[in-house]
Amino acid sequence: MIRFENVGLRYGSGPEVLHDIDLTLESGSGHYLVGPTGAGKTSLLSLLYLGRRPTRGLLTMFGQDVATATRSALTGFRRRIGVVFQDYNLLDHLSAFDNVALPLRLVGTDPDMVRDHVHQLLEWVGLDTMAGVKPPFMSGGEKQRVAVARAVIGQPDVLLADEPTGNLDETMADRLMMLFMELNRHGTTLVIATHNTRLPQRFPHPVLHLQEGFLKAGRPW
Amino acid sequence: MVRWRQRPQEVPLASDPSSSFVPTIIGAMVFLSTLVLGAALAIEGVADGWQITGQQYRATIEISRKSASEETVATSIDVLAQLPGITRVRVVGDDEILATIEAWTGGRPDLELLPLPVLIDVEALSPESLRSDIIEQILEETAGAVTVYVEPQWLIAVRSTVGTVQLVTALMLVIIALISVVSIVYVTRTALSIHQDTIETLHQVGAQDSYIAIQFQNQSLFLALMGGIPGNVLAILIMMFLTRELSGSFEAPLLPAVSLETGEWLFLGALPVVAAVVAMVAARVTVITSLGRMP
Ligand SMILES: Nc1ncnc2c1ncn2[C@@H]1O[C@H](COP(=O)(O)OP(=O)(O)OP(=O)(O)O)[C@@H](O)[C@H]1O
Ligand SMILES: [Mg+2]
Repeated sequence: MIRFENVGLRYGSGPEVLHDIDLTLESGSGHYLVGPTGAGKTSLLSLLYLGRRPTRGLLTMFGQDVATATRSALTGFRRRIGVVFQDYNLLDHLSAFDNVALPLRLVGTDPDMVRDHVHQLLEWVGLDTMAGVKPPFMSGGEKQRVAVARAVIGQPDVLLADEPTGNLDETMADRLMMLFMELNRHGTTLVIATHNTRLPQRFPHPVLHLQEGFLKAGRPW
Repeated sequence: MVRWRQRPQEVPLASDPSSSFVPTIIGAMVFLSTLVLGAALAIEGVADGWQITGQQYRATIEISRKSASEETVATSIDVLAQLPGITRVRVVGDDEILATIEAWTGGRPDLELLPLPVLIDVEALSPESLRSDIIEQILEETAGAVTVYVEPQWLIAVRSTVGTVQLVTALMLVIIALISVVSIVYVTRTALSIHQDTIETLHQVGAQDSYIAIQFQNQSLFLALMGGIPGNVLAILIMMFLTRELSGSFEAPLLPAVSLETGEWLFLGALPVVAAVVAMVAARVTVITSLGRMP
């Protein structure tokens, strides 16, 4: 269970970009995070993937207040969280294969198992022929799929996806969404930030509506 | 660039500007420290040959065999030991004396023909405690006429020079080590900021600080060896050349040769390893402390 209590976030000494967030995400739940550009979706996700800590309020994840968690505890949490970043955050000097393999290698998974898993996933996202290609030589949609594969390969407890289908056609978008839904069915807590109004209709889940840094009740549309 | 493992380097340090800077600076530092340390060891070797190392000042007292009964010697030692400033008094054994003579004459002398005197070695912390006139006067009562050989003034001067050389050497080595460490810290900090995005991503997918630190420390170790080994080899070649030249020109009997012992050469040869380990530790500490400040 993830719990926000009166959480606020500001970047450095800038203005507050998230205000008074009160939110509970049950384990195994699935949510969409929607709102206009600049509303704070990525910022909210960054709190969830522990890239930042709240500047005020209380955020509890995995039963612990993240403000008081030690560095090594945070590393442990991050290993249980998969993230598809809005701008992918792939390592440009590593091949698609090595990018996707990273989370498994970091926890010392057996190399044969790593290879099998990675190829399997790359195949699912339609990139099995591009395993050796580095991100700078890929299209936006290809990079996005590598990012998705890396996020899900560790079968995370929490999966956060920031506009994961933005660069994809409908067929491929649906394919990836099915992957997310499959993980969600197996207990992964899911939060997908998106501008795509088609997704909540096709794969129904509750919607969290952010506007100017506030969580609003109801859908924007 | 050499790969450490089959696995790719997650932080692409090999293409950093540091990959030429670190070998250059560490190479130069190892070169200098090898020369400095080598010179100091050689000087110390020469000083050892003259028996002038250490902080002690020495005098040797010669008592003729005839007047030196065991009792006389024992009382003399007691008297000497009670003088102010004396740190050590001992009788020089016959074997030791014979060995010294053997080195001069090339054969063991016949003790019957060559009546050896009894020699007493005295050590003190300052030359003032070893005034020959005073010692002669005091021993007059117990042992009769004795001869006191005090270290000559020039030897005392050389001794203090050797002490200064050691001090300067230590100082230079400390400075060299500081420059090396500061350079590595600087290079590592630069690399950390160049690769900040990569490091953040690695953290995000679950890398521990130590995992990231290993990449930096391996690179630092590798680069330091790349520079340190050539710098060391060059300095050792120069040292070998110089010691050969110098020991040739001082070819006089009884003067100790300017040379290094095998162990000392090995010690000098180990300097690049020492430098590499220092570079590795400096990189690791820098990374761990810097990452500790990240969110
Ligand atoms: N690194 C940053 N430093 C300072 N301000 C930031 C930073 N990132 C985002 N912001 C600000 O925080 C606010 C929310 O940004 P955020 O990226 O969370 O919006 P978003 O909902 O993800 O937008 P989009 O739909 O365009 O991705 C914006 O006003 C933005 O300018
Ligand atoms: Mg965003």
